[in-house]
Amino acid sequence: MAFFEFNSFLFEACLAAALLSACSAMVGCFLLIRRRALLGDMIGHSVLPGLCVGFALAGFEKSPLLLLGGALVSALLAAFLQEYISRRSRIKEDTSMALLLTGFYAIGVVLLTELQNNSGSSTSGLETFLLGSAASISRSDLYASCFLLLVQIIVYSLFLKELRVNTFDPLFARAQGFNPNRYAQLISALTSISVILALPAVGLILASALLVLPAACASMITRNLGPRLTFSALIGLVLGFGGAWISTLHSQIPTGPSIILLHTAFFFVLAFALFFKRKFAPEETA
Amino acid sequence: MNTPSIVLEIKNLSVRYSGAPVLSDIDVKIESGSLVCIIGPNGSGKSTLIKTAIGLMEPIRGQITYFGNQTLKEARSKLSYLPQREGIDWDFPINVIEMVLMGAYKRVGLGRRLNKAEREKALYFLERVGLKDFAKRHIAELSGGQQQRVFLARALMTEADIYFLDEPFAAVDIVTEYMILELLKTLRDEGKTLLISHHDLHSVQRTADKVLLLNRELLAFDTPEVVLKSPLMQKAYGGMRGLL
Repeated sequence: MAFFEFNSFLFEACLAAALLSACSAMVGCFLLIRRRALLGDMIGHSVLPGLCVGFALAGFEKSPLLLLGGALVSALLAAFLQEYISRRSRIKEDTSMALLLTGFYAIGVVLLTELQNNSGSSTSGLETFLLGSAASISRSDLYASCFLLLVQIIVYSLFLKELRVNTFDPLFARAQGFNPNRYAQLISALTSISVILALPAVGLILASALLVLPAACASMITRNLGPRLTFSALIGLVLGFGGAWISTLHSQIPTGPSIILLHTAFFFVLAFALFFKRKFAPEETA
Repeated sequence: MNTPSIVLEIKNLSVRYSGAPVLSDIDVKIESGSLVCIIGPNGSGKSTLIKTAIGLMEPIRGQITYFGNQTLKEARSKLSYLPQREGIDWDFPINVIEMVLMGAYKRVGLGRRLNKAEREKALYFLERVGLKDFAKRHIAELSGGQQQRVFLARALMTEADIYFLDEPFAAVDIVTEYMILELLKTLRDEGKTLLISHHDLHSVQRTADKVLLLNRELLAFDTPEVVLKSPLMQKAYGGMRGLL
């Protein structure tokens, strides 16, 4: 049976999927806490114009560096605009995110159609970014996700207390001499990079689910930020690997949906388990 | 007896919010070791004065000097701020003692871990606000009055010299209010300076050394006996005074 045949290429792809799921899972905890779950969705959709420009600059070839570079510029621009609009206007955060999400995506769709009409060549290099596939994960993706996970672990180990106070109570933090905007930008940047690394594997539409689902599962398990980050990363790691592995066994299931479905199933199993545990737990006497 | 030194001097301060003036030409000197209540009707600029003094809002004009000659930036480590409770997400994943420890973050320094001494200090301040047994509880499990006391313990944790408390009595029960008042008086007796925005005029009379009456401009700054009997109260509150 295929399951038992060790294929180092597929194993590497699954490992990369696991690591990048863990990356998104950790930073996702901060998005959920700040009620900015939509940010991942916004960044996921806002990469499309950058991808198209990168594709055109590469001469309609699939150049990972130009594609992901374009995506990163596009994502950071959207993240920066969103921060700026929220800070400088009366428009609420969710409204500004919805505005930029749809705006950037619409530009992306126009550019994509234009590319399909004019290039005369295939845009298949781009289409893998829409749904993602384990086969398009390269070894450099593996190294990049490994590096990003390491960076995140270091950032959270060193600056958890600063991230905590600046996220929880920005006014108090500012009065103490911190700069809460800088920490918000750090989270936005980590989110952008996580989403872009996840693009080849899960695609731009589903990338935001990797930010939200493991963090949501972890939030049901613990009410402490530190352990929540660890649980979230572990859930992302295991389910990311499992989902990618399932999609390599069944070629008709794309990698993105496979990973996300596994996360969703886990979320509901966990929710039911916790519901029944509470329902049938002995009454607390203390 | 030594004359108390001036710890905060505000000169000619004007603040606008979205184009409209909120505070105009405020001049005031706060003495060390005094408990000052800032009173005034809703929208009179009480929170704005506190926020501007601590650097959360930019004035369009004026000067703020601490301890004789220090700028806000130089004095920041000696200042503490208690924000309004409504601005906080009480579902945040944090327990009571961790919230109190936030008061030590700046002192401990970037990237450094909190040591045992800081944790013991946090427990001591929780004991002072009567919540030592709640240290491991999640903040959402507390009542409104208990949340306000954790806020106060966090402010104490900063070990500042001047405390700016924005509506510390909002939505607290009478027992909590009495407890907080007693604690603030003790702090004042320990030599700390406190500026509190407050709406209950009866407890102001019992507690404050000085009352700062505000209604977009400084109407009066004197002892409670003088300010509360002054005709300026009528000017500030209009016909609402009977309701207070």
